[in-house]
Amino acid sequence: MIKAPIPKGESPNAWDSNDSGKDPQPSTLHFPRHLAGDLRSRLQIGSPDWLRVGRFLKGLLSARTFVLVFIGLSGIYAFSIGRSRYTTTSEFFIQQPTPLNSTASSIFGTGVAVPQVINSLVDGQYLSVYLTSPSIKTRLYPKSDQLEKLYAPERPDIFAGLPANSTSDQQLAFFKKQISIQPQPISGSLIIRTTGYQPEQALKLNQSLLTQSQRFVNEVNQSISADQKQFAENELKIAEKNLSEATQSLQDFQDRYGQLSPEVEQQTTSTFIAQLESNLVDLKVELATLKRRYIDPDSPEVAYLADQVQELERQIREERQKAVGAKGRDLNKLTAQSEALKSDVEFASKSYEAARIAVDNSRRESQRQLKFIVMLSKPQLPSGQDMNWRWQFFLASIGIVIVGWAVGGFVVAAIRKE
Amino acid sequence: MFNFLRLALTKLQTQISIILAVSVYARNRRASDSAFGSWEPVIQPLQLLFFLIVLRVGLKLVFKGGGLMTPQVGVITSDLFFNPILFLGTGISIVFLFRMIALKAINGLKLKAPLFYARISPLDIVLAEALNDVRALASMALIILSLTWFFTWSFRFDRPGLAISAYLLTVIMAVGFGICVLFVGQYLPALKRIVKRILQRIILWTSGVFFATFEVPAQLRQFVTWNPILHGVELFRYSINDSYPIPGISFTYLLTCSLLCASFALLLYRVNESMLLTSSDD
Repeated sequence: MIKAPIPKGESPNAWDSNDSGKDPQPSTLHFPRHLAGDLRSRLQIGSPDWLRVGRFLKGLLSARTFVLVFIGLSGIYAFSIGRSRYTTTSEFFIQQPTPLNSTASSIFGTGVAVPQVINSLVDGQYLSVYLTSPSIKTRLYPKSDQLEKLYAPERPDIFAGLPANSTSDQQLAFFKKQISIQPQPISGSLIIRTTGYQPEQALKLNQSLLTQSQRFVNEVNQSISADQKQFAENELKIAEKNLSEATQSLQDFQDRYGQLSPEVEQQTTSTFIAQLESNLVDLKVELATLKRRYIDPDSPEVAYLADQVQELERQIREERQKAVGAKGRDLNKLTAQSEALKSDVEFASKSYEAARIAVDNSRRESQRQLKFIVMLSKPQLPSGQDMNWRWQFFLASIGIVIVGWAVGGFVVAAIRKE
Repeated sequence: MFNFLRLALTKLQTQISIILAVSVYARNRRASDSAFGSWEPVIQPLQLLFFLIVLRVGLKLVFKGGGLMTPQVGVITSDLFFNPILFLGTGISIVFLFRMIALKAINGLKLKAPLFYARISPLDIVLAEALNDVRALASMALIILSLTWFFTWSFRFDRPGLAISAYLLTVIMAVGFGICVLFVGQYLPALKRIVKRILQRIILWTSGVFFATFEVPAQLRQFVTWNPILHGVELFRYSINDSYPIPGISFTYLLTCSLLCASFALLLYRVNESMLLTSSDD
């Protein structure tokens, strides 16, 4: 492309004099023989037909031709051969009816302090994954050949569509290609765009996806509410059973040992023993006095008092044995048992109360977290074909050529230069 | 009408041929001056990329004690959407592109030999130099993408059209911005020096090479999203993975900035063409 420098004294336009229409004069110079052929071909002087054909074929096989053919073919495919595609769009918003202080929770119930828009956006992300999942594809097209029949390739465009005997992975990939789900970051709404080879196909698929979205939101809400409620009710049942058992145990205890309280009983016994001990002390003092008065220790007065002391001591021992001994009433143990049973009843009562409050809260919370799909734009039957894919295809082909030229050209030139 | 179209196409074809020829000449000339030959424009950003990766990994290890590819649990960071090499590579390929092209335009023409030919104008040389940089950095970006895809075995390029558009708009903006600063700088030399300093030192740290816009707190986001290069970088990343969040990023803003820069540059060029011939290295 770089021309030879223009000799001094000549204007650059003088070199363009060949454009005036005059034929160039043949050179009178004698060239070496090995250069003459090349010169002849360049000047097109007396070249035979086979050389012209060769030049034509060489020109055909150049990179420029391939690029032009590639772009031309992509243009023909995009604007002529390619099957018409129809697009249906719908838009909705996932709304929580009673937002509290601008906090909300996502479909999966995670309570986070986010505005309603972000919340709907997060739910939209979940939905976009769910709607393109294999289970939805199977739900919409239960039979394996159903999708193949609906989207079978047609001549002349044999590339568009789902070929017969396709695998489930191919079917899923094709299903995903027909759907575009875009959560809108600013408004928080969700746009579902479906494509079909007939307008009805696109509309029906869009409507089916909306139904599935509705079902997803309801199912998830219901299942979460049901799970929470079930858990709370189970807890309530357990608390109720515990309370009943504790109350029954206390009742049995009281039936067995009477209504009197072990503490009062123990107090009474202690007082009684203390009184006996006081009497014993008095008798012992009296006995000591008598022993000093009478020389004979077997005198009837002394013997009588000694017998009284012995009897009193035995009585005190028996009473003590009754109060704490293994064979007696063992008031200490009874007191401990009674205290434990009362604590059990008290704890079971509190647990029961807490479980009842939890059930109530769960019911209220599940009502608060209920979500609804608010339709902003219902799907309509497309009136004309979608031209976007044609332009996208054609421009993408040009883009590939440009990137290939830019990168490939640079790499090849750098390698050659090295 | 048909003749006019044919004439316009012929002229356009001639102009493209001229730019291509000058770009080949400039590339060969630069290759002969460098130890790395034609690979020089690729090696330079790759060196920086390697340095930044080491810096980032080192800082992460020092402060958080995590692996290179291990995203933090419970925290939404850019690591969830891109691995660090791809994240830095996409950022550098756009920021470096802008930096190189704009600096060359601001510095004026150093390559004046092609001007000997009457058909070649100074703008052709600027565009030819820009074309070489575009090809080199696009090659680098593609190499990084290919290597990342190869090693992670997960091919993802959601919006190739947007990637090409963001790339080309950055180029147009860089050329326009550079020429505008060059012309305004003739009357305000301090401005030229300041802009060059900004391009050389600050722009790398403020254009989203290291951070994602969504990682910036919402209150501070408005102070960084005025930078159109950030929009180019984030849109380029978004075009690779369209689940990457880009709050406050707009294609329209990038388009507007590019077209405004290009329009002002062409206006200024029309009336002050000779100023482009003055080269400076300050």
